[in-house]
Amino acid sequence: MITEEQKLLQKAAIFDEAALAEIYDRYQNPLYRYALHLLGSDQLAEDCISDSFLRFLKALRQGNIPGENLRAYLYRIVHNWIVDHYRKKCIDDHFDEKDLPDEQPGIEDSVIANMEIEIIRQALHTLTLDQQQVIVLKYIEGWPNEDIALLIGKRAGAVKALAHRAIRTLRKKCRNMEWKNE
Amino acid sequence: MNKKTKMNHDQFAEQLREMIGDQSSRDPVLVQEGKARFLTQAKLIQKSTVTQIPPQRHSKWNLSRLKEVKMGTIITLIVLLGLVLSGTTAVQASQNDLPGDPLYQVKLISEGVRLDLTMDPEEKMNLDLSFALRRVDEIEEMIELGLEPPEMSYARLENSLMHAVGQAALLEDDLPGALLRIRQTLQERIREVESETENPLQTRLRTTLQTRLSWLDEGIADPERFINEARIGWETAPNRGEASGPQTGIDEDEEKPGFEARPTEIPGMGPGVPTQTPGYLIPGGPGYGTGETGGQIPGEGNGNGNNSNKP
Repeated sequence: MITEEQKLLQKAAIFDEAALAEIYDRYQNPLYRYALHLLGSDQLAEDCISDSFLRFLKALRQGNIPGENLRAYLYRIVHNWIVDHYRKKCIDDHFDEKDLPDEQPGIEDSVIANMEIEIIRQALHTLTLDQQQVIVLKYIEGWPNEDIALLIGKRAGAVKALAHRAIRTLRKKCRNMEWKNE
Repeated sequence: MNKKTKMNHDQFAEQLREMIGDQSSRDPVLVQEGKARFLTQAKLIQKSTVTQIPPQRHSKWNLSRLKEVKMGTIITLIVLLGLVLSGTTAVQASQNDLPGDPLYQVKLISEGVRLDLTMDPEEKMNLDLSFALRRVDEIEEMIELGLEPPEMSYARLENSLMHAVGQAALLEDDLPGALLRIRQTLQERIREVESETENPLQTRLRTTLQTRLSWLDEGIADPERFINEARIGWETAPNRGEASGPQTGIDEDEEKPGFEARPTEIPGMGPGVPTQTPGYLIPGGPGYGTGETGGQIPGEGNGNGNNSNKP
């Protein structure tokens, strides 16, 4: 039985404009959010999404139609772009100071809530890429462990453990940063 | 965010979602521009012809040429390549494994190989320390998953810490500094062990680390005595004969809780008196193994009194 998404993909494979537009509308925002959380920069996230959709078109042109899970396929393209980005910058720990999220102007004058958001964002960017990925997908995007496992090629149990460790580390980092700010 | 200290991970995750989940709305103008660009690119790509890449591979085997090469050589190369590739894959795949997982032993072996290949004492010390922290991570992860960490995990943790300190002892001039660095790392990690939970397993982990911390304090206070005691400790250690020589591996059973080779059998590594100096402290000295892959945890032996390393 052909699912609605598979029909959409079949149309996209022959470059049906309506189908492509629907795919873009459906996935651009979650993909952008994902990229923004991992890259910490609006501009980089925009570049990432633009390049990723272009890669998707090229894949379609070469007949590489994704299997059953279009969402996982698109997230993998985006994630590969992000990994390439950090590799190109030759940053061992991925998180050089200049790669931290853009500081919001006037952050010191902003309300406490905004400071907390900033602390969380900065803490998030001190985690490993794997940990950031699983936090964004599981806790912010609300993906089930099984879908994340499919995307990153691990067992669902391993994803659960990774998520546990990631969220625990994030809490600790938040506490430490909060403590330093006090 | 102070109030968060008492909330559990799920509550924190919920708050995380509320706080930053909706913060990343994309500029609508950029969305429209991006969509228009995407559809334009689609038209251009659709019109373009797919580049015909000339075939890179032979479509047929040239058997007459193949016969010229000895088949034995080819088979050897294929086997070697397979071993290297599968070995690398297994090592990579094992890095997230926990005690009891199928590839956990591969993880330990890869750590041992890294230690064996490292010559500089300071680098070796850092490596030992990082492996000790890995053991802490594993124990914490198992606790979080509702599993009871096996005794061997605690033994390995202490063993890696002891080896790190042993390497520090080789840096005689910089011993206090090296011990201080180990201490700081350990202290930071202790802080990360959750304190608000009442889980006895977590308490045990914290106590284990704190005991080592106290012991390090003594070394920092009097490094000379620390080294001497370490050396004398080996000579006088009452149960050094219990440590067998290097073993070839760790049985699967050892991963199970309740394994009898308890870390308390290790001289100076019991949960009690932290001032007792371990007898196998000095690398290269008697009883100090060449790596930890072989399960050279002192006191981990068969208990028959045989010790191939005994002087």
